[in-house]
Amino acid sequence: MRLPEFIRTTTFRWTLTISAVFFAAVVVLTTFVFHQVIESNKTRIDGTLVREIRNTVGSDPKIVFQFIQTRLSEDPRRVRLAGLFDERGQPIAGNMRSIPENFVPDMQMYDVIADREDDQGAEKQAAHAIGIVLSDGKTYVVGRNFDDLVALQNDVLNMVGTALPPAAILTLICAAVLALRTQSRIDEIHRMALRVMAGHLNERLPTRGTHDDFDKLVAIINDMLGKIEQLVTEVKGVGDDIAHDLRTPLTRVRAALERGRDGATSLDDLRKAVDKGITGIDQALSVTSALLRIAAIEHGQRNAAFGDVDLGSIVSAVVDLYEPAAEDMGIKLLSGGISHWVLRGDRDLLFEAISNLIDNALKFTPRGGSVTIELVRTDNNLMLRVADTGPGIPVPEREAVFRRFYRSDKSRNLAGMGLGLSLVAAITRLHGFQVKVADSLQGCTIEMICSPAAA
Amino acid sequence: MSTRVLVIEDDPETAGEIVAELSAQGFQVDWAATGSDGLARAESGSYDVMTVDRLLPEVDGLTIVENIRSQGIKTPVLVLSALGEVDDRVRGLKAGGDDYLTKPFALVELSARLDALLRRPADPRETVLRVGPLTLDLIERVVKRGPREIDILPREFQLLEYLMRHADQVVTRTMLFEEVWHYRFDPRTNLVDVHMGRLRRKVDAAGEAPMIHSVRGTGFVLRAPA
Repeated sequence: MRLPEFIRTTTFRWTLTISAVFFAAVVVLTTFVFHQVIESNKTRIDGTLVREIRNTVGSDPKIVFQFIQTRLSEDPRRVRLAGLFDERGQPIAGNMRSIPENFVPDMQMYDVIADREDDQGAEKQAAHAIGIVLSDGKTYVVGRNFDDLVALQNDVLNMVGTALPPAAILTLICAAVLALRTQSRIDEIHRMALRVMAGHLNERLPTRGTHDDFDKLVAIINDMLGKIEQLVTEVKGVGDDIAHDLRTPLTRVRAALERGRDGATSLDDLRKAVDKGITGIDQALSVTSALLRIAAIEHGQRNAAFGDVDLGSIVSAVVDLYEPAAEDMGIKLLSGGISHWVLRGDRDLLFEAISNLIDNALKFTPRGGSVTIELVRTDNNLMLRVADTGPGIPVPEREAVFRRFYRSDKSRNLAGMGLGLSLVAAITRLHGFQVKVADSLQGCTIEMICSPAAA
Repeated sequence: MSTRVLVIEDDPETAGEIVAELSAQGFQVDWAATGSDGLARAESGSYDVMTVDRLLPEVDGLTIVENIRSQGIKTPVLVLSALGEVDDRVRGLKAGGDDYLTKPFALVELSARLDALLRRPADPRETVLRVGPLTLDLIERVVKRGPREIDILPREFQLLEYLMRHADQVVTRTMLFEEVWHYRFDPRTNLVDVHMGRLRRKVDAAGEAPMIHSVRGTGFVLRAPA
């Protein structure tokens, strides 16, 4: 027969195990405590017996007789024993019919079986007894029976025994409830996981707001799902965008060639058409080679070409390269900050990254605006900052611009934009730098945090 | 006599493209698919120029270069290297008069670089370069076209110097960029063209026969007016 699912849960088993250990501990503890209590009682009683017998040494036998009367008069539980015997061992006073077997009246404690007889009847009692021979030759014995203590111990153990089964049932119920709760959360997660696996990547596991272990686990899984969803969306988007980026130039090529074939009246016209075609194909090729380049940087042999490079001189070379182009576009290209800073890196790739940042800034800056590049020190890091006076990037898009092919809607009409920043991102990652779009009041500011110059 | 090129390349597809392009340009091309085969052929010394893949089975591309150099063979070499494999040894090739190219590359880039390797560089001791009516004085830093002195910026001076050293030869944008800015980078936008445009307006003034010509999709060439 198949056990109910919850019985196999860890929670159920742990609850049961802990309960079993707890019950065992209760039994052991009770037994131990009682054993100790009884032993210490016995020791105390033995002490009393010894004192009583010592008090009678050298006393008048009459007083001994009185002792016995007093001792036995207050014994409602029938545990006290006392006896006075003549030289032949015949009882003279007390509630003992004979001197017990294996007993010597030598002031030592003995375990004996006493023959008790009083007004409530006769019986044999196990007891501790101690005795002495008095000056007149009579034997005086006092003892104490422990049946009352044993009975008390048995009573308590019985009570514990009676209480255990209901407690065990309560534990079982508790374990089952806890296990069912766990089970229901796991089932919940399982159902959601199935939906995610079925393609509903936007589903998230529910939290209960209790901040318990499950909530923490669920939060971790949800974060992971978020990342996966983002990656999948990116990959989907890349497919669409590659198609889009290739389709536009190819359509142009097709149109140019078609027009050329039908409409050209001279060899020069035909050449122009072919040139247009080549331009379009070059554009398509540049998309594919940029993609290959990003892939090569991302998966390439790391650090192969790393050396000491001066970021400051790279920046000035980039500025030198872009200055005339910026001037033609009516944009001021300004540079400033630290002029020399040596770090480990690949000089060519860093040049490419920085030039992509400038390229990007120039593309989005309207005529009359400015692009500023500067190297500044922040704490122990070096920061490269490129700021423009263009329209800026809306906050929700700021991370996405570094993705392959991502384009803000505003830039859709600008050619060849999709890959520049993702190339920058790939190069920054290779160097262990960080790049992000910073908060700025106006325009777009991109910050690249470069690690301190490593040895 | 046609120019003989040795292509040492293990990937048949890449090799096929290179061989087809160079043959179309009138080169006589031999292909070696392994390092040891390539080395054996290179040692014959009968080639004018060779392209060597950086990573080859059996014998590594750079080892081939070192081997033939130690035997005194001076055939110029163009090393083809994957992006991740460009290290100091590869970069050092430029210093030895050889060159390297990062994959993937455009075939026009490859043939322009081979062309540059094939030309003997001008005597480095020369202090005045001359192409047609154009003179460039490396010591005085003065450029003249005929009697007209040209007011030129330092960067433009470097561009013109490179063009004049490689007159009648197609130089690509990346070659210019490497020689003048000393970074290896493929400016996908027309940045170099802007610099060249400024230089051209100074060199080819209105009414003068043009000397700086654009080569479609490739780069530029400086020629003396006919």
